[in-house]
Amino acid sequence: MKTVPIYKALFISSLLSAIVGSITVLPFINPILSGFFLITVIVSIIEEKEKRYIENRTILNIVSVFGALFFLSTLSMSNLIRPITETLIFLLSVKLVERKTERDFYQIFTLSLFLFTASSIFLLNVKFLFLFLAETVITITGLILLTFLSENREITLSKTDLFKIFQFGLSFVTISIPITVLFFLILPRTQAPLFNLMPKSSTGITGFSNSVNLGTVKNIQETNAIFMRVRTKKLRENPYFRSITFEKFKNNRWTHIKTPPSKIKLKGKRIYQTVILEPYRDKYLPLLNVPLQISGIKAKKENNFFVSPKRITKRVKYSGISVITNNFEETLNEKDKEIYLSIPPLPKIENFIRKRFGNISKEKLPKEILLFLRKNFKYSLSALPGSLKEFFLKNPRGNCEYFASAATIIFRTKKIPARLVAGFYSAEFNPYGNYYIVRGKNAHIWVEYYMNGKWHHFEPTFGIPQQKERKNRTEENTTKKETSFKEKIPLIFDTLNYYFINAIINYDFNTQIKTLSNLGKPFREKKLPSFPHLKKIVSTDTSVYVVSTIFIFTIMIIFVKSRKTPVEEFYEAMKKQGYTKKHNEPLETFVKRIKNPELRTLGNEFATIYQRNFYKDKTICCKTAEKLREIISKIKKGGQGG
Amino acid sequence: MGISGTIGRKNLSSLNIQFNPLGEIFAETTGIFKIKIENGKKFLPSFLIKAVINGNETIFPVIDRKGEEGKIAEVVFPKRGKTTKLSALLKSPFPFGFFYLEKAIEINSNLIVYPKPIKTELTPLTSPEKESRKNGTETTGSEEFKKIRNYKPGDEQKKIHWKIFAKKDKFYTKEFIRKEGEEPIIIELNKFSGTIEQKLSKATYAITKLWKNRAVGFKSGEILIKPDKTKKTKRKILELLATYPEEKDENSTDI
Repeated sequence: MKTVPIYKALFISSLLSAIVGSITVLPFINPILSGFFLITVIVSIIEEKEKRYIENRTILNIVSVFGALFFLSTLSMSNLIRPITETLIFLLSVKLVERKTERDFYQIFTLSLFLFTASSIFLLNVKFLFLFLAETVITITGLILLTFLSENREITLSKTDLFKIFQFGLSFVTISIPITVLFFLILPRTQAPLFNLMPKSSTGITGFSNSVNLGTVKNIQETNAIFMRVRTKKLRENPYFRSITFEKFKNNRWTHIKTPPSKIKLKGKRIYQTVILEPYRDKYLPLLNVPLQISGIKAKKENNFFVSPKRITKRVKYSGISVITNNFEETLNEKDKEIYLSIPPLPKIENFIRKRFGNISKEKLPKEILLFLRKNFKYSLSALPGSLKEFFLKNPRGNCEYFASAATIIFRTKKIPARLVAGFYSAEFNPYGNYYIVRGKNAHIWVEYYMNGKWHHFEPTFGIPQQKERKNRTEENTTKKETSFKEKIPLIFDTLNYYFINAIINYDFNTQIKTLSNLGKPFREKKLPSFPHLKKIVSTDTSVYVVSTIFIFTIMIIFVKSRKTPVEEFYEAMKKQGYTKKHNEPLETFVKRIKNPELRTLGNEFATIYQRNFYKDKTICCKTAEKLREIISKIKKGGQGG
Repeated sequence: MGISGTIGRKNLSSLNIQFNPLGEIFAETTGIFKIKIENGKKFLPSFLIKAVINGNETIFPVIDRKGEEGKIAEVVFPKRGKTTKLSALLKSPFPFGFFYLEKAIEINSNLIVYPKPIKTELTPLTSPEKESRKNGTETTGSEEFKKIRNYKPGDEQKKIHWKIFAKKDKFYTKEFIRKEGEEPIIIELNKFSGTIEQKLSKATYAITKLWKNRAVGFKSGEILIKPDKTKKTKRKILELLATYPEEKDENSTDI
């Protein structure tokens, strides 16, 4: 049978561990370093094939030290993770090309695990779970092979033996995970991370800040990255999600101005939602338009939207209530109105507006603006005008912020208070998880104008790609009811992602307390939860922990309970041989009744050993238990086992 | 850590070891053995088991569940004698080499370790039947066929040529001649110099050397084993030497 030297098997597993451990971080670090790492992987393979290595450890150690110093030189509290990751990748690359002793293999596995831990910051979704499983199985298999190598470098293993070791690695992980989950559930944790390790722009997720330059929203719209997931029922119309409003326009830049709080009346159906927001390093907390209440996160209300006191630097979860309406009442005083009417000096635009809309009444103005925009402007994300003036007069093409800016300026010129509302529109609904997937490309700006004491929703943009896409899909759905397999797969994967995030990432101290509290509740009330109560528990996010904890404990109890005592096993074995114990019959009397001499001898032997321990109040264990079970085994064989 | 400890213990459980010599085993001399380990576990293979017997370590990388693995090992026994119980140590650093777990195990064996052979001059040996050697009609030991002659009363039954008898219905006797230099030899323990142990060692050497080409017998005190070329006789003599009582005082040299 063909055998594989232990060294070769170990080398392969260490290389796999290094690749899986670093594959996630490679796109986020210096590309030259990523390339260097890949080259060292290839060089190490060639080295092993040729059995020629870079022998001079002193030089390699000097290179490692200087390389590490170089990469760590950019380290700061706000930029922790990238320099550390780059240092780890560099050290791992050097290790790969060295002649490898046991110590080097340990170092490769350790560095790979460190890198893999770092990668959790770059990839916090369900893919991480799969990679986690792969990395742990590879590393554990590798560590076992390393134990073999430490014992004897000359060991060779058949492919079957190697497979058995791999199987063991897999089983080890399978056993460890439920225990890890248990620890995860019960061990204390802090509510805040010790360090804010999230790299500034590593995830590519951006959202709205408190100001926006004309033409910059396209930067958000061009990303397909998921910005947030909003769990709510599917709404009939494509929902708008409100992040922030912009009130002041100057130098082609819209800025948010905080206005004093005023009384708002929201009428309509209330929609409940749970939001999982990705870290985007700003503090606005989007909710379905128009937001009414927020909970589960520290936030304050500002001009009909909610703001977190801190920037969102880690994934957060919160709940909210919104009212889906196209208008809502708000009492504005003259000072407020001034803000919503202010226009920077734009003489040419103002002249143009006066000419075009001079005779239009305030009531007819919204419709006229729509007509004007549709007739003269084109939706585009490329070759955007540099200013609003250029958009109006020279280059009539642009994306939502151009349309919204133009409409707002027209409203304001006609003395109608208006503002820009930034948020998201036309998100995709995932029917498998019942939530909206809001991506960067869904970023949108629309307008609200104030008339008759109410703010009115106004959508000046037409021809938005998402709108078209959505429209086409709706049309397709009417003819072809079922979603194609190709469309289903990403949705199913994202559902897994959603549950993973919901279950793992947001499991904090509060949830722990809630879980324990939920567990203890039925006992405190001395009655089992009624069905509606149960339904409530099941529908909560903690249910998964409650169920898994109960499951683990049940398994443990069943395992302990299902173990029969030796005396129970003895009676059972005797019953099979035709001797049934009478109720309350002492062991000795029972044994005396046995007619079969061999079985009686065994019975006597059992009774002697058992009673000796029983009356001495000793726990039957180890050798005694082994002996008793040996007797039972002989009884099972009809007394001929010995 | 807890899981690896539990697995390490389980790895060593339900293992049965067998230890069999391949050939004769002499004290203080490397002997070849086959070590076989059976894994009685239902679900788990055993990994990286080290069987330590008399200081010798033999590694069994993988023993399948409900399976067995055999390895050839070189083991040295320091003293001659008969051993019925051998202690072995099974140990393993599995799974991660953080610690070694050990398990002492007793092996039922019927091992006889012969005395360590010590090279000696073979001259002090005596021959039992010089006369019969001279007339060339020796009847035991290493012989070559000479001729067939008519049967004489008193001829040994085993020398009757039964094939001719079957054909001719008449008895004939086979006559043999001993090869030159292959006379049967009786090794007398007292002919060797030194202590009892040295004598036993020298006798062992003589037997192993001489048995290759002649019938060897043994004599010590009143014990006499007739010369024979069979393995059985050789083993009998060696066993006698192996189990020879240890020297108590200077005068007790005989059995």
